Order: sequence, then structure tokens, then C-alpha cells
Amino acid sequence: MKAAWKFLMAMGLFAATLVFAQGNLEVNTPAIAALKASMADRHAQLAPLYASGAVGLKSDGSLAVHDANAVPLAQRSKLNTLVAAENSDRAALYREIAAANGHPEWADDIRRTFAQRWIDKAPSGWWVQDQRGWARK
Amino acid sequence: MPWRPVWLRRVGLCLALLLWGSGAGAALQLDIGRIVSGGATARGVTLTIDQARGQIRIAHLDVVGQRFNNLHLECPRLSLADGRIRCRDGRLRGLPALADARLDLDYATASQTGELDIRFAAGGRLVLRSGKALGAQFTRLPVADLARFWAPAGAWQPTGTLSGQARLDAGNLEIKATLDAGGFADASGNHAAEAVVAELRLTADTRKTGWRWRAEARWEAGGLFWDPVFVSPVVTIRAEGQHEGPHLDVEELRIEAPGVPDFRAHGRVDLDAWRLVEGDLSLQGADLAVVVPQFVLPWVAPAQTERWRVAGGADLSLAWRDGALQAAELILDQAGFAYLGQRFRVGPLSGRVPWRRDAPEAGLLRVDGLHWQQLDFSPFVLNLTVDRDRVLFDQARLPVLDGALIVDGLALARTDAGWRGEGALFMEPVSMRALTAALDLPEMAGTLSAAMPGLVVTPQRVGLEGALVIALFDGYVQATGVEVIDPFGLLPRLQANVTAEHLDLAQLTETFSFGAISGFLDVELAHLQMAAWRPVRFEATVRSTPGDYPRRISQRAVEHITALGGAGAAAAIQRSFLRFFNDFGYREIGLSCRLVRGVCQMEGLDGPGPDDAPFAIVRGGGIPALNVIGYNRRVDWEEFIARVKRAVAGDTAPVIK
Amino acid sequence: MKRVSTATAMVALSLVMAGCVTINIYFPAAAAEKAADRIIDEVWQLKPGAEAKEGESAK
Repeated sequence: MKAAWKFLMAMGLFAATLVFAQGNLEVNTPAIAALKASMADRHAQLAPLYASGAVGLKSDGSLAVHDANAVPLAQRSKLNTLVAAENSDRAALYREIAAANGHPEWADDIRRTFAQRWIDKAPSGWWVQDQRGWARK
Repeated sequence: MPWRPVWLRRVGLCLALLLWGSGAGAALQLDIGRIVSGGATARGVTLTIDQARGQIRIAHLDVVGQRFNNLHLECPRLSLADGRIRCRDGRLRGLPALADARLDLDYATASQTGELDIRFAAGGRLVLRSGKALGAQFTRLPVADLARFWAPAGAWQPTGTLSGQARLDAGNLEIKATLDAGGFADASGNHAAEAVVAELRLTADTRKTGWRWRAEARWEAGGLFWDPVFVSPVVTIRAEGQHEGPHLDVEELRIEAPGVPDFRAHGRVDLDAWRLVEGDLSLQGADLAVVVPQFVLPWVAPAQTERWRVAGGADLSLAWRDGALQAAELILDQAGFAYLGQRFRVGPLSGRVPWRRDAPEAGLLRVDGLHWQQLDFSPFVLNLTVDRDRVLFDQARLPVLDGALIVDGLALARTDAGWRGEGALFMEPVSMRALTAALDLPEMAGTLSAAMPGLVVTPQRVGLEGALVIALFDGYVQATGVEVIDPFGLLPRLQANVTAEHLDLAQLTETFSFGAISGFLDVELAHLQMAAWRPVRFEATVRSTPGDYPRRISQRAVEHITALGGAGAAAAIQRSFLRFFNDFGYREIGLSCRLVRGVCQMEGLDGPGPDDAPFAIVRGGGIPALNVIGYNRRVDWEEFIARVKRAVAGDTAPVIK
Repeated sequence: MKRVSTATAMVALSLVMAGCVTINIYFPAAAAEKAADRIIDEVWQLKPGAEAKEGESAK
């Protein structure tokens, strides 16, 4: 009986570590770090564009040009490439997090989670998209 | 706007009719009813004169498909005398575009010549003269006002002013105009122009059928953004051709623009379907450094526009027949491409890539330089065949270091999921001495060769079926299942299964200055995943090669191995009696490491065990025998690598025997 | 008495383990949200100490 107890206690501890492991998603891989660095770099260029309304946050976890008129004509081509590059990094980020946790099929769930959090955390004044369309926070 | 002079002529006719119906005198009203002239119809025309004041009313006016209702020209001073009709400071009601404008009219009935002077509130002025020829002179005419005559233009918010003159004489039309501060914008801002200064010149000739035209434009200042491309001056355009029915024939079109010194085209456009029916287009001496980032990358790879650097020149020719692209040819002249700084660089690259819709074409590319990571390839030639949507490369030999990479039967094809390449890759042996020198690694003896019959390249992955073999340290290392994920992305990742057999430990430890161990090792590195050349995940097993050979391990090597367990352990050996021995015998070495999430889970010779159970890494044998026991089965990989580096770097003093 | 408590403990523990298995199968929404918050803070530089904090919590 005592032995059974010990075994169960050991299993219980093991289970507890599993629960702990579930408390965090693995996000510390070189790929995720590289994507984060690339996005943080780009954010210096994107921040004024969010603030001016040129760029807005979409409900699918990506960015979109919201009002190109807010940017001088000569910069609009650059605006598009910034948005495209950021979206490519974001898509890769969602994919990478899913892959790093051994569940590539989670990519869409992660994208949805991020979409909501980008919008929730956006400072007021930025443009965000919901079911009804564009709105200013 | 070729319709404007036509419209003017019709106004002239109306006025003449009005005059005939009237006589000089006091209060007078004339109901003219309907005037039809060519495409213009005026219904319900009434002329009223009371003293000096006068009014002309038109109930409906149809001109070139547009209807104007309740037009009403009010003249404070209207005079009918000396065969002339004169209206001073007239106001036209019912036409918003001219609501604020003041009109002066002077028409001589005998000669049927007249002048209409329109002064816009915004400062623009339009003077129309009708006689034998119709003429117009305009000064700072607001484009926005002109655009009001054409409803679809309103959505584009045109701005700017036009100055110049127009003349229509016996079917000959000539327009010269200067656009100043011109621009337009759609609501989204994705199509817009600003501060445009341009000169335009258009001459046209109505032949028996259709128009013969010639246009010249010189765009001198401002900018145009047409999603996703931004264009800036100086651009000159010259074109001439014919317009008949639904067809616009461009006999010659020449464009000069920054980066595009010589663009020529001719062809036929179906204006109803708005499509190019047939034509030829040629671009000579294009500057790729300008053209590629401006016109090509925003279309084909907007996300990577910032990552590419391009140089060199190119010629391009395209041929359209029956509404479809029939043939194309691209000639590259000393072109160079660099990706992500200097990670990948190719060039100078020269040659010719042709394409035909209905037949294969042979092309050739001469690559005078190729650089990848730290490897430089010598010049080589690529012979290729473009077969519709496939490109087939003949066997190519890419010399690198003292060997060569041979790409055999590579075929690129467009599929629904993007392009895909398949072929085979072989390698003429490259000496490890040259390779390690090129890669800044410790010098190693041996050779690298590869036979990979199944090469698959897509934008998402590069897969290699077959084996990469390195003859090294008297044994060999073999990599199979080699795959590069996201090869063109920010962080390409490498996957492979690696096995090594019979590696001579003596050479290995000498190369990495790790003391001296004699014997042989077998290594298995399964499910290896690397990112930025650093391992992220693997299952590694290192075991002594079975067999009969001397097995000795030097004290220095033992120190290094123990130092991996942390500082202090090595010192313990130094203090003990073991320091009297130069080397020790061993029977077996065995260590496994399963790397997941930055942690290496270790096992010794006896396989798995609880985390706190010691495990044997080196089992002693002979005299004196020495066991190396590990105590920590979970090791932080970064920390482990740092310790290996410290151990190797610390080995400055040679082992004294 | 002792027997009864042992049985209870066994049931309770197997419940804990069953719980773990469930978490494994479904998408861990709360964990994903936490990970998203950390990454967004870093990318948008919302909190100056985001990097250091992440190092701690990852441990």
C-alpha cells in the first residue's frame, strides 16, 4: 500500500509539472526571436503611421493600409512595403509559435488570439477593424 | 478634349439663328423653339431684350451626350447693332460649372465670327473664337471646373490649372497646354498625383475615317502614385497613331523616364474591351537599380522590397498577338543581385532569357560571381531552355573552392502554389582544409562530397534527398534528409539526420585543442534542427566505435570533460594523486543528449535514469582506470556550449608528457 | 479509514491527470494570450523591462 502511495505521489508531482508546462507557451526559439527583433525594428517606422491613421489593425491579426492619404505621396509605395513586410513577419510568427509548441495546427488559433490582443493593447487614437468595419480607438 | 471646339461651333450657330430672328430695338421676345445642329440640340430657346438688358433661355441643351436643363444667360448689357450681337458681363445660370463665371460675347452675323470670353471666379480665363477656324485660348483654367462637365472625373478630385491654346481648323485640331500644380486623388489615396507640372501638345487630323493624332507630353515636376508604384519626373512621352471606331492604333510610342532611357512600343488597343490586341514593346538599357525596386519588387515581392539590392542593366522586349503575350525576351547586362545585406549575392550576371507561348526557346546566363554565406563560387555558365511555364537548366558546374557543385537537370515550373524546382545535386569533392579555412573553422583534414538525386526547391523549402558525405577524421559523416525551411526568409532553418562512424578521436581532439584522446567514435544526430547555424533540437548519441584499438585519455582531456560539469571539478583532480598520471585507460565512452527548448537532457552509458541519478560518461579500463561520472542530467545548452568554448580556449599550455 | 483516504487520493490524482490530458488536446487559450501579451509588449516596446521580465517568467 505504501509503495502504491509513493508511486502515486511521484506521478502526482509529474502531473503537476505538466500542468506548469501548460501554463506557458514556448516562445523562446531563435526563429521567434528573429521575428520579434525584425518587427520591433520596423515598429519605429510603423508607430507614426498607426498614430496618423495611415495604417490600422485588422481583425485577422494583420495590418492594412487604412488611409494612404495620411502619408506624403512619395512615401506611399514604402507604406505598402512596410505593411506587406510586417504581415509576412506576423504570419511567420503565428506559424512559428504553433510549430515551436509542437502543434502546427494551432497557427490559426494563435493568429486569432494575437489579433484580439493587438487590438486590445493598441493605444487610443489608432484605427482598428471589427465586424462593423474600421473604427478609431 | 476634342469635343470642346465642336461644341463651340454649335453655340455659334445658335447665336446666328437668334440674331436672324431678331431686329435691333426695344423690348422684344423671340421663341425659337428648337435648334438642331449636328450632335447639338437646343429646345425651348427664348431671347428677351429689354433696353440694354437681355436674357437668353434654353430649356434643354443636348451636347455630345450630355443634357443641360434650364440654361439662362443673363446680360446686363446686351446690344444688337451694326450686325453684331454683344453681351457684356453676362452670367450663365443653370450650369454649375460656369455659375460664378462672367461671360462676354461678341458675334458678327455677316462674317459669322464671334468671340466668347469666359472669366472664372477662381481667376481662370477662357477665350473662344469662332470664325473660319475655331480657336480657344485659356489662362490658368481650373481643371476642377473643366472636370465638372464630365461626371466620372469628379470622384478623382482633379486639381491644377491649364494654360494654353486650342485650334480647330477644317478638321485639324491642335492643342498646346501647360498643366500647373496638377493632381488627382481617389478616396483611398491609392491612386493619386500631386504638384504635377507638365506640358502637353496634341495635334489631330480628321481624315475620311477616324482621327490621325500625334501627342507629346513632358512631365517636369510632381509625383504620381498608382498602387503600388510611385513615379516621379522627368518623363517625356511621344506618341502618334490613328483612332478609328473602337480601335486606337499607336504607331509609335516613346517614353523616357528615370531609369528607363528608351522605351518604345506600337500596337493596337481595343478601347471597348480596354485591352491590347497586338503590339510590340521594347525597353533598352533599363537601369535595374532604379527599375527593379520601383516597378518590379512592389508587384512581385512587396514584403521583401527592402531586402534586395539590384544593379546593372537590362533590355526587355514583349510581343502581343491576338490579345495575348506571344513572346518575350530579357537580356541582362552585368546585372547584380544581393539579398539581406551580403548573405546571398550574385553577379555580374549577363545573358539572355527568351520565352515563346508556343515553342521552347534556348537561353544562356553567364554568372561571373556567386556568393553565399562565406562561400565564393567561381564564374560559370547556365544553359537553359524556357518551355512555356517551365525553365529547364542543362547540367551546370559551379566551381567552389577546390571542387565544384554540379546541378543536374534542374527544372523550374510554375504551379498553383508558386514556383517549384526539381533536379539533382552532386558535389565534386571539396577538401575540408579549404572549406574550413573559408568558413573560419579550425582546420580539418578530409573531403566533402555529395550525391543528392532528389533536389526540390520551393519558396517555402529546399529539400535534398540523398546523402551529403564528409570524409573526416579517418571516418565519415553522412547527412540525410537535409531540408532548409524558409530558405528566403528572415531565418532559414536546416533539418537533417546526421550519422558519423569511426571518427578518429586523436585527430578530433587535436583539431579542437581538447587535450588528447585516442580511439574512435560513432555519432548519431537524429532530427537535427538548426536556426541561424545554431542547433534548436536534436537527439544525439555518442558511443565508442566497437572494435579492438588503443583507448587512452589524457589528463588534460579529463580536465576539460570535468570542467564541462562546472568549475572546481578540474581543480579537484589537480589536487588528488591523479595528477601524477599523464593519461588513463578507458573501456568505453558514451553520452546522449536530447536537446529540447534549450535544455539538453543527458544520458550516460547506462541509458535513461532519474534526473538526480549519476550517470557514467567514460568507463575506465586498463591501468590506471578512470571513470567520468555526470551528476546533472539536465544541462542548459547555451551554458554547456559556453563551457566547451571556455575549455577549448583555456587550453593554451601544451600537455607536457 | 486509511484505506478510504488512499482510494480518495487515487481518484483525485487520476482526475488531475485526466485534466492534464484535456489541456494537452485543446488549444491553451490563456497561455497563448499570455505569450501574445509578452511578444506584443516587446514588439511595441510598451514596457521598458519587458525583456528582463520575460527571462524570469520563462524560467
